[in-house]
Amino acid sequence: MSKYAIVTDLDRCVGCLACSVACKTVNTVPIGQFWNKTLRIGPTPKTEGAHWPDVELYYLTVQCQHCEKPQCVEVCPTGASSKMADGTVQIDKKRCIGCQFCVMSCPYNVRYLNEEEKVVEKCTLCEQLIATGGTPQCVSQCGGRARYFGDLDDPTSEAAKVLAETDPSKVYSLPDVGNKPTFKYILREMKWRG
Amino acid sequence: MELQWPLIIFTLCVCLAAGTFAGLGILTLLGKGQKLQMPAVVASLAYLAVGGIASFLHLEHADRIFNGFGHITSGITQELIGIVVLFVIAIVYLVLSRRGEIPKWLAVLAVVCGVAMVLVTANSYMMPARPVWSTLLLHVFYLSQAIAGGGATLWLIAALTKADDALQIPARITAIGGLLVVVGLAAYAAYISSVTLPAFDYYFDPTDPTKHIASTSGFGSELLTGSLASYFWGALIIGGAIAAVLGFLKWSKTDNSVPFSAISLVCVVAGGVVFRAALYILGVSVYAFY
Repeated sequence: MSKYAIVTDLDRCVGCLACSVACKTVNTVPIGQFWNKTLRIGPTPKTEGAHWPDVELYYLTVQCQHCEKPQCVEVCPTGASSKMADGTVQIDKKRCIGCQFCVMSCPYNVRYLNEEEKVVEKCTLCEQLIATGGTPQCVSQCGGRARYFGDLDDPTSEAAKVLAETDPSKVYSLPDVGNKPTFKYILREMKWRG
Repeated sequence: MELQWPLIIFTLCVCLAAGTFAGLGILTLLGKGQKLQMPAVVASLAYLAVGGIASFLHLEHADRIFNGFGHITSGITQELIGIVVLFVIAIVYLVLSRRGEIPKWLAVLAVVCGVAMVLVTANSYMMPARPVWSTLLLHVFYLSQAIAGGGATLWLIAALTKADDALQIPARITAIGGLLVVVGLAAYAAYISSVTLPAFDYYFDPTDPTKHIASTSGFGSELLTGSLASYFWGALIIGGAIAAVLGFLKWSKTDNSVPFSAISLVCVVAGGVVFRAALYILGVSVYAFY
């Protein structure tokens, strides 16, 4: 089993939102919804009580983390949400009954009900592209070349290589409540705020 | 998160159905209330039916309900299994009550299944992703509601059917259940006050620039003295204390049982609705910024 994931070097992210826009375009994400958002974290004083210009900010891309132990899969009554052999979490829309328990069980709020199709959607890691050897659109369109995609269990993949080259103390994940998020974030120069 | 009315009605009805059926089991074990057996089972089934309809209304694609349904780790699957089991036992109870003889094992089964159904339902909502829900106090709340609501339902049925030998025990069950609601809600409020989520000092979502910064603390003060205070105190005083007081007033008396039991039931239902609503409003995800 593979462990496809995205590693994002936040020191390189310029907050251009190209990933969010590219994702919406290639995946026909409904107006008002996003599979991938870029949050600006900060500005935050570098030290307690500091004022501008002694502040810092970084951009944080948030999407489905394709968790190792996805709660969304556990709560799905029909098996519409499932963990695939490549490590991604996918939704079989034909089996989705729209109960939205997966939406409730996701720690990152990245799932939503598609009001037109009446089924739940989220980032697929561009499965239509990676199945043919491509990369997710948010990775290929990244203006700052901050994103690396690949199998974290394959040391030759781009994502695994950049992680291997990085000080482990500078590698972060979104909060883990037992779901074990797969995606990683690198932040060397600033304080990780969570 | 947004209020999910079908789920509020569903979980409340499950508590009432299971509480009524379990209470009936206790009455049967004590050799009382033969007269109310049939209407009590019908009431329990009616609660289940209303809850079942509400839960179907929650589904966006109910037409696909049998399209692979049955993933056993899902709370919804477990709830459905519980409902089917409860329904079958209730039907057996109904049939045997017409013959006038309920075996003790069936009464014990009614109590066990009633309690299990409530716990299974509470378990469905115990999600680590939503810290306000992720506590065993949710189970305590649902159980206390089942005891108070089930007791009040049986009390009302006993009063309406003039089953005089079965008036006091449901009144006492209502009193104890109401007290448990008060204690359970107080403990739940203390837990909610301790919940804090990961937070940034400051952040901004460029795709939603006018959105408020998400609340990641202060849930307790919001519940106790803030915008949800009327929900919490309403649930505690009306849904718990008043039902308990009414039950205790009739601990050993049987007069005026119809209004006392009816008011108790209305109070428990109202309290159950408003506290569930408060839980949905406070039930933000652990990472509340998306």
